[in-house]
Amino acid sequence: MRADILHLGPAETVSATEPLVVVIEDDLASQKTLARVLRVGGYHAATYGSAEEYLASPPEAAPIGLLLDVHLGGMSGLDLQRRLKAEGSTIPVIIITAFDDARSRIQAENLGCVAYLSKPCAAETILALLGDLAKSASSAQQKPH
Amino acid sequence: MRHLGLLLALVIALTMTGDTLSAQEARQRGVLFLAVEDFTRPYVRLIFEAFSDELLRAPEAPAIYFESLDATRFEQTGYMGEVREWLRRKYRDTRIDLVVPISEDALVFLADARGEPWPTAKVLYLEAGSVRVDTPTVLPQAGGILLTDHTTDALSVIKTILPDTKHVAMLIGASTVDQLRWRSFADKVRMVGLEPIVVAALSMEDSLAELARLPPLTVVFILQPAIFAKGHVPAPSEACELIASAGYAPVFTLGAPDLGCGVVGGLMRDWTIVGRLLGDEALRRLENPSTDIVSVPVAKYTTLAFDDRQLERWKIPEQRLPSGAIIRFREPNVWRDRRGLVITVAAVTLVQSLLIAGLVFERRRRRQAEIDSRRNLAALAHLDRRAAMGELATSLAHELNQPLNAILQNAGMAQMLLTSTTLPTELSEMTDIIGDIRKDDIRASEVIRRMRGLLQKHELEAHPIDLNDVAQETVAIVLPDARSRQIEMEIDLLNGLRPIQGDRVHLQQVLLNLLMNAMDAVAAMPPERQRVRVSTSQSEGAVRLSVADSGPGIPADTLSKVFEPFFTTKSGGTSGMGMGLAIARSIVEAHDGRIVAENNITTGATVWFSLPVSSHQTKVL
Repeated sequence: MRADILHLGPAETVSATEPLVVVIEDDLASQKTLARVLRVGGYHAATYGSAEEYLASPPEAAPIGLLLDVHLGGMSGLDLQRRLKAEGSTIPVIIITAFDDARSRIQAENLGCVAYLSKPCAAETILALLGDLAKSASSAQQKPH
Repeated sequence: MRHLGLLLALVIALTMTGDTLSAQEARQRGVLFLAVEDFTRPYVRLIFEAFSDELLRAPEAPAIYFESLDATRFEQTGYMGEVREWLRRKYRDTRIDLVVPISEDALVFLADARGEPWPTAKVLYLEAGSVRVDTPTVLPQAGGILLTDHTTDALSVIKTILPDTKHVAMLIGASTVDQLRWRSFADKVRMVGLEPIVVAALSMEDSLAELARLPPLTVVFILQPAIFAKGHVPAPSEACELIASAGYAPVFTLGAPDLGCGVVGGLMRDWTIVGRLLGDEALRRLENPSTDIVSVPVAKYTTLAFDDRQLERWKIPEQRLPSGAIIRFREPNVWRDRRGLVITVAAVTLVQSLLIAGLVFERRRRRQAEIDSRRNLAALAHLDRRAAMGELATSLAHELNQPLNAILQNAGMAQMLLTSTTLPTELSEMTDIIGDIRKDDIRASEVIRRMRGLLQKHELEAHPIDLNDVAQETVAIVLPDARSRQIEMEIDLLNGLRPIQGDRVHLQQVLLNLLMNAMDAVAAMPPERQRVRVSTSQSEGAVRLSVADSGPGIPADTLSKVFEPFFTTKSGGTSGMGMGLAIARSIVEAHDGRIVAENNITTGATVWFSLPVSSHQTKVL
């Protein structure tokens, strides 16, 4: 199981640089931990403390996914998801929240999130999901050739 | 979940190894606390805690080690030698500068082998009464603290409050150590003119059976409760509760922490003070080794306190108590004003009774007369706290899930790094992960501690309290809720607030009610008016805590009604039964304080309560 996860990681992908993942999380301890999980999993993490921060200065490279908390100080994660969708963004969104409430889950799923994870959630789960995203991202890149 | 537990155990084991190593590298000084029994005995725990606190306060705090000889349960020949040999091996590479044996048998353990396995360490012993070891000859490096024997005084107190007493049943364990330790107590009993009856039963069950056969006019002294027949050691208050609730005779013990479990009270040792004295002396002797014997007078380490419920049960009139006695667990409806103004008491009791009567009539008309109003307030208050915590449950769960999540993920990382053959395992990364796990663990237990305090059933008790602490603690509970509702919480506490006498949990509850009302009041306001402000202030004889909101305010015609039971301005079934402020008022009034609601000059309303500052002479708790 563990070996599988390590293989799911992007270490084997063709791309030379580490795939980028955006983290938007206002709890500093969770943010730090998530960044560590990504680093160990072989990803590059761009971390933001709020939706506004992310909107003000999104990363230059295209991320393979967005890890998003629901309750942020200021604009909520769902509002951000809504806004990105309206702007035509296709970045896959994974919601990670400490409030497991049915309404936000349905809203997030209607807005097309890849997964809705409630805390506490295992690092392995997140890495497995990102592994899938990394694969589809690299195959999408190869298609035009 | 089981996975997480295993991982945590592994991680904790790793952390602990790290600590020990770094301690040795620094050649830190070491102090060893050597007890005869372990932490299942409250006295060991209390002394050790206060002792450690004291040592850790020093600028270059020594490393502290704890060992228990467990000599009351293991007496086979050669046992002590084996323990000594084991300790010798265990401490082979550990620096010990000072050994602190607690009570005679620990000192004997050292003296028997001239300080081995720490022959070069200084010794600071703790003894009560007298020392029967010839330390100058066999243990010349030893000095100590000698608690002046208080048992004669304690027995005299019993004679004063229960003048008809003829016998004292001494409850001790059946081990040799126990028998030796308490032999002199029987002499003291005779000295004050009473007849000792030794109950040295092999098991708790036997003890109880023997107690049932005691002659009349006997009091019971629990010195060392026997273990249960199946072998488990009774929990600290368990023995005391069992024996006291059997109701054969008034029960006494020698240690202050037992008060509340059913003992009558009396002159009792305060182990926390003893631990503090011991820690202080240990620090001094680490710097300047000495073999002096410091004698501690009875008054310095004992408290004279009684449990009001037991005084009533055994019909002991208050006038018989020695002067300066503290009465605890006093029912609040006889909670007298310091100046003894009976009228005030009557008024407060009346208000309280009316409130409770109103409530009880609603549901249980018939039982009303039987129900003790005091217990009712506590129970109602408990229900109200539970309701409040229920409303906060979502945000508290969130608050708890954050650290749990970080712990789970960090543990996952540690496992991956440790088992992976491809990923480089950096020691610094591992240390960082473990450090984060510890931080989050502490954060989670903080949340639980705050919740638990409020959820427990709790009787009103008065202690000196800083209202600022109450404010901070309570704001911490509602803060996650405020954050998720985007309400700005402003805190403005006055430094140097004078202490009041009160019950922390119940005062927290008052503030919790005020805060939740204030947050509800601003919930529907535009963002710039979603603000709640908590502040403290003080005047001549009183301390005040205010909660101001920038909500719609309270209509002038209802201002006087807000503290009435079942009054609510909130619509729908979401906000409880309109009891919050009524309960708040009865709690504040039980504290001799007052609570006021008023509209602000600009926007919103303020509810504040003020409590009288405690004078230094408060005795009735």
